[in-house]
Amino acid sequence: MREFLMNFENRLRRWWLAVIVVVLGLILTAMAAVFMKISVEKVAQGDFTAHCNEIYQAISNRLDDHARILLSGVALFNSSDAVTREKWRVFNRIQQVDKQLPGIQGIGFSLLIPRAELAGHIQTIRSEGFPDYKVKPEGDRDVYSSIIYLEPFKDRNLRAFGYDMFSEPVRRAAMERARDTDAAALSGKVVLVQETGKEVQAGTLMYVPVYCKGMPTESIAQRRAALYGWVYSPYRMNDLMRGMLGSLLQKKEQHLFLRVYDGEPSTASLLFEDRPANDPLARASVRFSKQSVIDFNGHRWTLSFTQTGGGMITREYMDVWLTLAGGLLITFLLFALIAALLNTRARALEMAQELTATLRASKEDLTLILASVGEAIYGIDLDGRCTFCNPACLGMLKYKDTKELIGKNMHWQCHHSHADGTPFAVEQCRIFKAFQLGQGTHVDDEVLWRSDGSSFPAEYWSFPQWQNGKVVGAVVTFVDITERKKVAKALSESKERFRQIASAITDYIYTVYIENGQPVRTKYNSACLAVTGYTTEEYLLDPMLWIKVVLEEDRPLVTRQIAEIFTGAKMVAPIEHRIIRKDGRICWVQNTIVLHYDSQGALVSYDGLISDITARRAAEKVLEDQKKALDEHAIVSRSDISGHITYVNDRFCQISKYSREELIGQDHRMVNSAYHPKNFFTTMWRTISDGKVWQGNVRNKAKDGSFYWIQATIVPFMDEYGKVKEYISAQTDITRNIENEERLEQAMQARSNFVSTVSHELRTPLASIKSSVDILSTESPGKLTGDQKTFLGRVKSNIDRLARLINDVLDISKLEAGKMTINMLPHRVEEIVREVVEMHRTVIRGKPVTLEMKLDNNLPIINCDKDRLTQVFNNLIGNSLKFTQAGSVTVLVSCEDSKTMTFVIRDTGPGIRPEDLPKLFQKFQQVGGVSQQISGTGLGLAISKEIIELHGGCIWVESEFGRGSSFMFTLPVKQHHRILVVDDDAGTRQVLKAALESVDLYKVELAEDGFAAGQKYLEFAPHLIILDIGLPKLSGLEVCARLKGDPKTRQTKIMMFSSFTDETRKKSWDAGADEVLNKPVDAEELLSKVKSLL
Amino acid sequence: MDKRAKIMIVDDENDLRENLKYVFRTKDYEVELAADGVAALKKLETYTPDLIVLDLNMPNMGGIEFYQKICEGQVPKYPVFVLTARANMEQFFRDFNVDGFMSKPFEIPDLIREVGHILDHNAGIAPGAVLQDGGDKKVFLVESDSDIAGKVGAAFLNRGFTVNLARTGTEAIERISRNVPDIACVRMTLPDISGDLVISKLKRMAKTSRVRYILFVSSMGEREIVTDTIQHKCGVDQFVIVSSEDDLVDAVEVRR
Repeated sequence: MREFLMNFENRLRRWWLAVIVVVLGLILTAMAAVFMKISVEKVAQGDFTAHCNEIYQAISNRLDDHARILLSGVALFNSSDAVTREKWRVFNRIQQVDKQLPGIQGIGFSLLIPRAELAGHIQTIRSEGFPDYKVKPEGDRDVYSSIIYLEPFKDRNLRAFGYDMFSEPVRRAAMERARDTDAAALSGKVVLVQETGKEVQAGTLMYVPVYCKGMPTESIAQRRAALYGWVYSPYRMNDLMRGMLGSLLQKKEQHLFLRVYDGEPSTASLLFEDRPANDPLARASVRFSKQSVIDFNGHRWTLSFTQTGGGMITREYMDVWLTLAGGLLITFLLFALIAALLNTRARALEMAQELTATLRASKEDLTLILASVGEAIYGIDLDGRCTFCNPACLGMLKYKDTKELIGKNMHWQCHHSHADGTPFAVEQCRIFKAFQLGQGTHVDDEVLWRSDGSSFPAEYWSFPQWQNGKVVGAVVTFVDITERKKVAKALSESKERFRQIASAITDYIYTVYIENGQPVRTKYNSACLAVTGYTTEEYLLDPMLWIKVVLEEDRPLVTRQIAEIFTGAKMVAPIEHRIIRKDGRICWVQNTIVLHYDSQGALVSYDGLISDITARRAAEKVLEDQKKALDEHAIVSRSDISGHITYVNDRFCQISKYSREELIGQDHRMVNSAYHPKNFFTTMWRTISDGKVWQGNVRNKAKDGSFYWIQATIVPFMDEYGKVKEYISAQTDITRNIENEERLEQAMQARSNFVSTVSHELRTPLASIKSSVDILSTESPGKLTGDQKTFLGRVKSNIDRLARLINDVLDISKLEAGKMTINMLPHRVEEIVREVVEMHRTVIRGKPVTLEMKLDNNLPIINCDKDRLTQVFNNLIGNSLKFTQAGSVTVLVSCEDSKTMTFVIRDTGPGIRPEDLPKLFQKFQQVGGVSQQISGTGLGLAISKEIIELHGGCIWVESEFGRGSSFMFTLPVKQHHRILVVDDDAGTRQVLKAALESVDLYKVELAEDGFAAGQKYLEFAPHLIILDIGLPKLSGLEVCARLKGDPKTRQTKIMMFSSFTDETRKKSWDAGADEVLNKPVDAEELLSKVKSLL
Repeated sequence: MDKRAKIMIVDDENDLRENLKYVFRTKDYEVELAADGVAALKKLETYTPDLIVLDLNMPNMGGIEFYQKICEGQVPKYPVFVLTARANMEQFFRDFNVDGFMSKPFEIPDLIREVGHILDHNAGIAPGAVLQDGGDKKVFLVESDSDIAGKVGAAFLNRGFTVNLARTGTEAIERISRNVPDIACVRMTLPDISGDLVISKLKRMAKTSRVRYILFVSSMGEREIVTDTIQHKCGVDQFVIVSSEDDLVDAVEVRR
């Protein structure tokens, strides 16, 4: 309860501001509303009064206006001799009364008629066209009056025609007053004769007297005497007021009501009320009221104004309500705002308190943990500075106070050097590296350094500390692992030592004691375990174990040796035999025995030494096998440094036909065939005496004088001092190979001689024939008949064919002998094609065949032998033209992939049968055979194929039988690699250019800075850029990154070029470099790197 | 021509000999015939021809032996035109200086024209239009080093020349005389015969005597071989030391 109170009090204290704000707000709002109300009401009162005055003024003015109209009517009478009905109508029309003064019923004239004149009067009017005219009401009176004119003379006004107003007292009072005052006079409340009975309104009339002209009117008596009649106007009160006030009365919203009374207000005297009495608004409570009196020439009207309603809910109080509502709203909002603020603050404070408490608790926990753990723990920030450390940390690093470490760079404090004392750069520190990347580390092969300068091996872990997704530092935990390391080291050392000792033991000794010529016991030393796998105890338990371990086949050997001992021999030769170890392995051992005798010469004991010789035996075996293999295959000899033979194998003897005895000790020169020039052997000797291996083919002479060829490999062997001590020569017999080669060459030569002889012998008669035919056809053209010319032409063309055949055969033979040389030069292939095509165009005669040429634009220059290539074109185009009877032959040259150029000779000839295709490029093949009747050697395609292949290209054919053929071949395009060298040093540029251009394949351009490099890049489109890192304007790294960052330029290889540090090298790789090249440049390295890149 | 030119035809092939005799006679030459070298030598004792048309393969004494017999020093006493059915002429070109040659079988009009040129040439009359018009566009390069050949060839090509290549002197002589270029650039050191000899042999032949010959070297050691006398003697038109691939083209263009 108390707590609740306190809580409440707290709350109150906290909320007082809000409360005050609310109270103040409410008061202010109320005051504002009150003031607003007062002011609104004042305004309303003012409005009301002004409105009343307005209406009052309007009515009073209008009455004057009416009077003036009537006066002008009077003036008509005064100015006219006789006012006729017609004149009156005109007058009225001119006045336009109903328009100027709405509400008026009409303007009329009432004539005063003395009794005596009544009959005459009636007669006069009746004669004017009104036969029914009479003066109403009828009766006998002293004086009559009659309304003789009333305009507008129609409708309800007709009822007033002839009416005697003087007969009615209310009207008469006004008429008399007008007569007596010579002024306009209003009557009291009447009902007009014009009223038809429906919607009867109160009425009133205004009279102005008309006196007879020329009669005095100064006094009342004179006026009474002079009276002629009255100009008058009847008014229906409602119509009159509406006409007068018009729009003034429309402002109904003001709840203003007007009543007009004739004289003092009373129900009877009510002339006009602008709203019926049962109007709900009229019945509402009166708010304002006012009465004004209008005095019209002594006749009074009382105007009574009231304003009803106007309660608090009307529009004029809107402002008040708005003020009230606005004030309340603002108050509420303020309250809410303050409340929210207070609430948030309170919540925040509460949370802060809670958190502080938790934090305090956990910090205490942490401190406790940090203080109590055995591991040393410290924290570092991003710069590696210590942020905290625990007592264990201080203890291990030998610091007294945390102050000594806080803020210090921990790397330099305890991690500054490697175990061997070399400085440990902070960039290399694994803690530092790892946590910068947000990773932890675990290291146990480094040392930490104490404050006293000593170090200890430590195992440490680091964990990055994250805050808001960013690494802000790291916590490092470490332990001293000196003891652990020591133990581990000792353990591994002892293991190692044991292993070494065990593996080193290959021998053991046993001693056999002898009494009375009989062995009585045997003692084994413990090393027997290492050799046989059995312990000394096992040997003692089983007395026969020693012989059991011997391999069965070797046991007789062992028994024989022992038997020998006991036969009294003074010495026993060591034996080698095999044993089976306990683990089943078979080992070779050597058993050496030493005998001991007593002074009497009796054998008392003997010692046996068992040595494991397995390894030696194995090595010997390998050597033996290899030697055997070598001897099987090769002719082997050894000689000393002076060349004297020290060893020969059987094969050597066989081939040289000398015996081993004849050879050993002799000089190698005994097999010299004197075939090789002197310097051949000088070179050989220089090579091998330098300690290098020599290889070569040598012709030797055997004992019987025959020659044999060997392929020799001579290997020099060195002694311990690195001096050559002997040579071993391994040779193989290649006599047959050499002979075969020679024979082949001879055969080829013979053939080629044959071909050239035959060709000579063929050409000689051909020359005679040809010259004869030429003479015939050129010397006596006129004497030949057409047929003769034809036949002669056939002879001629066949001679040519034969001559071509001979040339082709010669070419083929040259090609086959490999003697055809191809003289490669760069050529524009299109020129060659054009030349050939032009030549052939002149040859097509009489056949409807067109020869077309379609060459790609920008064909590259290729390396070829122009004459030979021309020969190929001649061949292919000639063939196509020959076989095509009609249509076209097209030569197409294209180069699509910039590596090969493709040539197509397409014709619309007969085509080639599929089965003929494989034979096409063989010698003496012509498809279609004899039926084609076309001359040709059948060698052209074979020669073309050879030529194209010598160029490094290939040739083939595609054909559709009956449709045509396409002969195609390709030639390789020599590719120039474009290399851009960018370096700001002109000398370096030139050095690189020279080095690169030493290789024919490279075209080099130079640039001196990054911008120039960009420019050159666009012009030159290099395959490779060699880029110096340190360039002015734009650095090489930047150029590299830009080029590598753009997909369009990425494929260009980039080799960064600099005196690299680890950092710049890394940056180069990061920038996307394909290779790096260190300064100063080494030409060989440059070229090999460039080659591998391209 | 006040005096008819005298041609001696040495050929073992009777039909051809007679045919040639007929042909040359109709062209108003004086013709003398011999069936082999021995017979020809005998004829020469009393007869001085203006030109000898010589077959190579003949019984008794072949053309080569005959040629050697009629030589004074390196040069034959009479102009020699070789007419042969041999396939391989290279050896022949290395050792002999001839005024022209033709392979069998041949076109008679060609032979008549060639023979006419030689006779005119030797009489001091300019041979017929050997050179084509249109400027020195056809270049023949004689160079055994394919690297240099490639570079120089490319340089010529770039300046609008067409280039043919031979790698030995004998190949050069054979091919230049078959397809006469406008300019021949001949390297001094060649595998078979030296460049100056190649030029002098070609200069001797009527057909190729009007070609512009450029002798070139590309190393200093080579430069020393080429003395002024050599240049003068062999009839070199220009001598160029090549240190870059453009040097030869430049030399050719300067003269143009």
